[in-house]
This record gives sequence, C-alpha cells and structure tokens, in this order.
Amino acid sequence: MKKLIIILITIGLAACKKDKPIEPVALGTYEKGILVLNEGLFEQNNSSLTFYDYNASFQQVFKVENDRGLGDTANDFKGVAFGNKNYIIIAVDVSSQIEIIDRFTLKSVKQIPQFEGINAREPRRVVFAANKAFICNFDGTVVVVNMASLNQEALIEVGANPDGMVVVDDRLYVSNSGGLNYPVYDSTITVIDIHNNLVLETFETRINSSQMVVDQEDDIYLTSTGNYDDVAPAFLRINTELNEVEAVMDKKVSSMQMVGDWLYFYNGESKAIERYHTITETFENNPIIDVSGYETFYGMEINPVNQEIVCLDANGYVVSSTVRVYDFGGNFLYEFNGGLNATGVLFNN
Amino acid sequence: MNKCIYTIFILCLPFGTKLMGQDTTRQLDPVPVFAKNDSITRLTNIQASIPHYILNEEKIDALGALDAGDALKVVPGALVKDYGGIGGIKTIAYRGLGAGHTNVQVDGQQIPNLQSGVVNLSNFELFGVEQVDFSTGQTMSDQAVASSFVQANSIAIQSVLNSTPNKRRLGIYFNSNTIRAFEKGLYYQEKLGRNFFIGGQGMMRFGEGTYYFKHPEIKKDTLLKRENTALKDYRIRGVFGYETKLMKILVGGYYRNSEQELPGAAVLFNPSNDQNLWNVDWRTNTEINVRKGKWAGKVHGNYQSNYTRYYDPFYLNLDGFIDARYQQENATTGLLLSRRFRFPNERIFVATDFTNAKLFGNGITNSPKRLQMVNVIGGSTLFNKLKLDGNLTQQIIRDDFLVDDQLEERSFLRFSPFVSLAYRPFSKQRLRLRMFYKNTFRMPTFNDLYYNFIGNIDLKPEDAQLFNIGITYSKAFNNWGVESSIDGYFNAVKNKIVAIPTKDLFNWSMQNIGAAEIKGIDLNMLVYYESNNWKLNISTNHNFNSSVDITNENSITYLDQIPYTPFYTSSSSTSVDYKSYSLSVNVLYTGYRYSLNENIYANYLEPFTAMNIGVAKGFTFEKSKLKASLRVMNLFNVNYQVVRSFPMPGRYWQFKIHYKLNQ
Repeated sequence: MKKLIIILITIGLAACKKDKPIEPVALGTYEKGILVLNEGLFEQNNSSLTFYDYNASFQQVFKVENDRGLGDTANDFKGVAFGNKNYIIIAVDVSSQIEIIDRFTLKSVKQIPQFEGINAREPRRVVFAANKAFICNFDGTVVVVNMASLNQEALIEVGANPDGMVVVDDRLYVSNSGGLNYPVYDSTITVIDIHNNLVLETFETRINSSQMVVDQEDDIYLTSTGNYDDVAPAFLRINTELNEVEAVMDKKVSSMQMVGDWLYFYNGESKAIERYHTITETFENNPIIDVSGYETFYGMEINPVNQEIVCLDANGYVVSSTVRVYDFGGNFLYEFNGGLNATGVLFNN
Repeated sequence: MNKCIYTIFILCLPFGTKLMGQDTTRQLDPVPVFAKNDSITRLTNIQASIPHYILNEEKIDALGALDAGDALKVVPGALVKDYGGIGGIKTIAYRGLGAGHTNVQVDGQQIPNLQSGVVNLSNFELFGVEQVDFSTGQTMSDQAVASSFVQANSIAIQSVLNSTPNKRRLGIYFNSNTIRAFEKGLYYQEKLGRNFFIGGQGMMRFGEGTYYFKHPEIKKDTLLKRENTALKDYRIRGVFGYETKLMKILVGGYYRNSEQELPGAAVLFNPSNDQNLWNVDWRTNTEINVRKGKWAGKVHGNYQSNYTRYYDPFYLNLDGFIDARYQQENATTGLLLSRRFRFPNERIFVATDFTNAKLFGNGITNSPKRLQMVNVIGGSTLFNKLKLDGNLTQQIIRDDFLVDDQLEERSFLRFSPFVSLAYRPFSKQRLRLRMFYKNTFRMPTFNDLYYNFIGNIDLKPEDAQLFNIGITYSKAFNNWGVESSIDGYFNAVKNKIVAIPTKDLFNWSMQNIGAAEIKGIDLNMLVYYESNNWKLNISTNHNFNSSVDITNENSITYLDQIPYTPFYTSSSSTSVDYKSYSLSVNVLYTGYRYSLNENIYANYLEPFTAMNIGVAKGFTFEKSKLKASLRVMNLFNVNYQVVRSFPMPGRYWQFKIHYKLNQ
C-alpha cells in the first residue's frame, strides 16, 4: 500500500513539472531600438528597462547589464549627449536616486542619492539645459547636476511636490502640484535662472498642475489635474514674457508632445490622441488615434525622426504593458511588450 | 500542474473504490482509536474526517516557534505570509484561499477583525498555550461558538489558564534571540477551595529586532541592515473559573499594549523607515457551560476593543506627516445547545450568536456599524463503518453607515453548508477514507466596503467552495508505528474581492472580479518509535498546489498561478529524545512562486529552505520541571523573502528556558 502511494506520487510529480519563467538575456549593446522605462509597483523594487530592437522585446535589460535592480518606482528618463558621451538620466522616485547610465550599453555610470538626513527627496522629472541636468524632487526641490563632472552642483527650493519642468530661453519653469496635499493643492510655478540656479519668481496658475511643454513662440502649455472633485481638469496656456496665465481651456489633457507647431496630447474625455495647433491656437476636430480600447492608457511619446507615435497601455497596472506604435496618420504599425507600468520611451538610433 | 493532479486522482480512484467494495459488515469502533501510546506528538490528526493539524506544547517547543503564525508554517498547504522581524505581520493563506477565509479563536472566543478581515497571527503568543489547532472545512474546537462555523478554515488556540487545575500551577518563561528579540512571561494559577480557581498571566515581547540581510535585487554581497524594527509589547490576562460536575463558569479579561516601529518594505537604495504603530487591545468574556446527562449547553458573551494608531513622521504633504487612528469595538453574545446519543461523538447541536460591531477613524468617515447574527445547526452520527458530520450555517448582517450625513443600510444573508464523511472499510486495518464539502464565503470587510475612495458599498461576499477526498492509514506495532494521509482537494473561488485601480494608478477601488480554481494534494507521514530511554519522531508533510486565475479567458494571466502560491511546499521534522535530552530538526521548503498575477521572470520569487536545529535538556524536580533549549534558526543562513521586499533574518540563535510547577 505504501509502495503504491509512493508510485502514485512519483507519477504525479512527473506530471507536475511546470516550467519556470524564461530568464532575461544581456544584449551588450542597445544601439538601434526603443528603450522603455517601466515604473513597476510601489515598494516592489521592480522598476525596469525594456529594449525593443524592432524585432523582439527584451525585458529587464538594466538588471542583466548591471547585476542589480534599477530600484523602486522610476518615474522619468531622458537621454542626453555630452561631448562624446551619451547618457540617460533616470529619476527613481521611491529609491530616491538619480541613476546615470550609458545610453547604448545601459551600464550604470553613477548613482546620485537624494536624501535629506534619512528622508527621501523622491526625484520625479528630468530636463537638460546649459550643460546641466535639472531633476525635480517631490519634496519641493530641484537638483542641478553638472554634466561634465556628473556631480550635484546645487539644490534649489521650489513649491510643493513639483511634477513638471520646461526650459524657456535661460529660464527653467517648475510646476508645483502639491499633489500629496489633498485637498489643499499647490497652484504655482517657480521660475529659475538656469545659469546661476537662482529663483527669479513664483507665480500663480491653477491647482494641482504638473506637465508642461513649450511651443516655438515660447508659450507654455500646462495641465492642471483639478481636485478629483469639484475642480475639473484643465489645459492652460502661459505667456512667458509676462509669466501669467493667458488661457484656461476646459479640456482633460495629458501626455503632451510637441512636433513643430503641433501639440499632440491625450484627451482623457474622448480617450483619443488629438492635436492642438499652437499658432492658430485651436484644437483639431478629428482625433488621430482612438485609444478607447486600451485597458489603461498610460502615456504617449513621439519619435520625430521616424515620425512615429508610441502609445503605452498599462493593462490594468498589475501585468506587463503593451507598447503600440502608429504613424503620424494614426495607422497602427506594430506593438511589443513592455514591463510593468511602462511610463516612457527613448529612441536609440 | 493541472494534469498532475488529475493523474493522481484518476490513479487513486480505482484503488479507493476497490477498498470500499470489500468487507462492510463489521462495526466501526465507537470510540476514536488512538495509537497505543498517547505521548506521541502528532501534527496530523488522521482520525478526523477533515484535514486537521494539531500543534501541542511539545511540538511547538520543538519548532522554536514564537507565535501562532510561526507554528502554523508546518501545516502543508498553508502559506504564512511573514513580513519578518519581531513585530512583523503574519497572515495565513491556505489552499489558495486568502487570509480572510480563516478565523481565529482563543479559548472558543472568536477574534474578529472587521476592518481588514485579517487577524495578525504574530499577536498570538505561544507561551501559556496548551494547543493550537488548524482545520479546514469546519472548526475542530469543541468550545467553538456559532460564528466560528462560517469560515472555510479555522485556527483554535487553547490556553493553560482556561483549564481547571488540580493544584497551584506556575509557569515562568524566558526567550532570547540574537536578532535582539526577547520574550518573558509568567503565569500563576491557584485553586480556591474545591470548585473555584483563579489565574493570571503576564507576558512581554521587546527588543530592537535588528538583523542583516542581502537584498535579492543587489547580487553583490552587500550586507544591509534591517532597521526601525523595535518592539515593546506587553499583555496581561486573568481567568476566574468555577467548576462542578454540572457546570463550568469562566470569566476572563485580556489587555495588550504595544508600541512598535514599522520597518516597511526594504526599498532599494532607500534606507529610510521611520513609521510607528501603536495598538491597545482589550477584551473580556464570560461563559457558562452546563452539562446534564446527554445535554450540554453554553451561554457566552464578550466585548473587545481594538485601538490602532499609525504614524509616519515624514510624508511629503503640507503637514509633513501622516497620523491615522482607528477604534474598533465588538460585542458578542450567544448560546449553544447539544445533545449526545449513543456515543460521545454522535450528537446534534444548535448555536446562535449576535455581534454588534463598529469602527471609526481616519479614512473611514462613514463610521460603519454592523449587526450580525449567525445560526448553526449540525450534528454527527455513525452508521456501521461510516461517520457522517454536517452543519448548516446562516449568517445575517446589517450594516449602517453614513453617506453625506444620511444613514444608509445594507444587508447580507448567506447560508453555508458543510458535510463530511469518514469510512473505515476494515476493522482490522486502520485505513479510512474521508471526504468533505463546504460551500462558504467571506464577507466584505469594513475597509472593502467603506474605506474612503477605495471602498465599494456594492460588494458581494467572496464565494468559496471546498472539496476534499483522502485516505488515512495508521499501523502501530509494539513500540513503533506509522501514520499517513493523502488528500486531494479542489477549491473554487469566485466574486473574489480585489483592489484594482479604476480611474488611474491613484484611484483604486475594491471590486468583485476574481475567480480562481485550486487543486492540490497533501501528503503527511509520521513514523515514531519509543522505548524506555529513546523516543524518535519523524514527520514529513508535502503539498502540491495548482491555484490558477480563471477570471477572464482573454486575460494574459488566464490560467496563471495566483500570487504568493507556491506549486510545492514541504515541512519535515525529526526529533530524537534520549532520557531528558532532546534534539530536533525542522526543515521548511517553500517552492518558487510569483509576487503578481503574471507568471513571468519579473514576478518570480526564489524558492527557499529554512532549517533550524535545536537541543534541549529537561530537569525534573519533585513537583516541577525546567526545560532549557538552544536552537539555531535558519541554519544555512539563507537569504529569503516570503513577501516581496520584506527580507527575513539570516542565521540566528534562540535560547529558551521554561519552568513549570505542578504540570
């Protein structure tokens, strides 16, 4: 009887073998393709990079190249060429690190921790200007990194929970969202001189403002999320000569991208990618891409070189994202898998 | 994996039916048969018609476990989600059913947590505990009250203080761990005259709880320190009893005050952890048990209060901090009546209880109140070689809560049937077939329903169906014996309550969307040997489990193993006693599993083996005993995580000393 049970178990075990997941592979170089930054989930230490070589997608490429994780909740990454070097700067929010990596090998060059005592500053967004990288921290500061030395050169105090940055001439505009201060959000923009790192002025806009882009006439377009209650989201135009709000448009805008005089954006109401013309200052009537079939629209970026629109679908936030690529006419071209909560893309050409 | 369970089932079935087809004329033993010697420590109760695990004092001692969560790790099919450290939360998932499907009773008193539905098992100390039982299908505690019959799985803890002493009893205990975690305790029980007794117990847990670990996301040998883990926790309790032939009255009180630092997730490159948690719990209870002839009755009442405060001194909002406080109150009263028939385990019973509960605090501005009635009718009987058990539970709930200062109401009514049978085909051989079915549910908790923004007042209960079929076998020889069991099970969960982001990543909401299909096999085997000076006990328990997501056929996670559910786990223990010396070794293996729904590398969690080994020496005096033990925990210094981002301690030592008078 016992023997019989043992035989049964052995047979059962043999039938039980379920394959372990496929381990990621290192490619060594990442020169032609699309890099995707995946946020992961809060406190799961699973931010990651995906590389798509226009043929297949490779997950966890940061981890395999560096033998360690990227960290927790990476929010933003930007690429920059400096001298003969090509870098990517990644703002890793919950790990509170500015991660500088080589753009084409993905090897870590430097990590700059962002802490005040033991408290995390939480880096959120990255922009470049005047041979410097400006990274806004959610604790109300902007850190300045000198691209020649890769050292932190200054720390500038701004408003509460800054969540957007844009450079206009010699000025850096930082939008202070106050996003963690429900129901008393911040509603200001801080203006900083990019050469001497000093705050020039602070002016009022609208509550819970975050993303910004600038057009060729130096107007800033800003999104205000509202308060999820009686203050609706809005789309704002800011005159940067006067530093004041010029227009408040009743539109739920996010994921703004500039191509020439066209501002491409995601309309949260119609669930479509639409355009706004910055010279005529009018919205185009017809949507370019209908993304209402997405489970969770999570961002849009444009590759001006290949003339491609890349849309991110987070698929409900707890499984791998889908990255879908369209031409400028809105025709679907191809798609590939990203990681968990794909939040941004970079094009390596 | 699915295929494998079918294979085993199909192979087992003809084998089972053949046995059943044989001799059915002889009578089943009227009294449950235990092996000759009752000093054998058994984890598995193979006499039961449902999977039932018993952890007595000796077993608990041999495991080096500090709390109920630690101890229950040896139950095959149970995954104790252990967040690590001395004050770390421990919850139990069993056979693919989440923690909300398991109830906890202390001395027959149900310990509710209406807010989260989950009881933290690290709150239940093992000092002053006689036995911890775990069962699936129905509770095996004979003190159980009506509401303990509702849930799928049940943990029952029995304390020393609740049992009537023959004479004065005293226990003194000290436990020290090299991860800077300490426990000390004392209980004292006095007999007053012929019928009265009184007892009290005090216990303290304290220490910094610091330990070193290697983060799995940093492959280099960087040793990190787990900090902000200090704990200061004390509990006192008292029990007054009166016992005659006819009745037993118990009046008890419990108070706990705890202050702890919360280490939080071990976030890569970010060591800052500075949250704090305070808990103040108290409860009182009274019960009157009457026994006359074949009738037995019980009337009981209790009141419980739980206060929680969470404080994060650094948060990037205007205040610069988060300070959340919750107060939960629970009053229960009920009765139970049963009548015995020919044999002690042939009986019918009815029970009912009422609970009145409320919760208020930050984040739950609609201050919900709950009125609950649970009724149960059940019984067990014997037909020849067949033992039949069954019960039907009815749960009626009415919640009141505020919506824009208007009082709203919500009601639930649910029935839960349970039936089990055990069949013993031969009277000479200790072979039994067993089977049970239960259809049950878990009520949405106050957080699920009412938590600001996240809660969803339209939630339905989460349904679960459980089915188990098994064979148990035992054979005792002169001084040794074997016992084993094999069970195959099938559980199905639908209307699973899960939090999902609805509008965006910051707006999560509770929804009834999940469905899971759970199949598996448990194997248990015990071999024991006993002679004058020697005692040997080897037990090994294995669980194969396939718990797959069947929510949506078009989803990429369709048929993927659900999170934190290993395909295979095992626990094995060996103990050798020679005179007053003993040696015990425990090996716990948890196979690989995933931290999220999708079965991909990014969500993969490494398997681990946690092994501990200990030696103990007992000293016997005229009326008292002293036992000292030394144990190495995590012998091979394995770095592991049960829960992603919550690293567990590496190797450490535990020293324990326990003195008992008149026991």
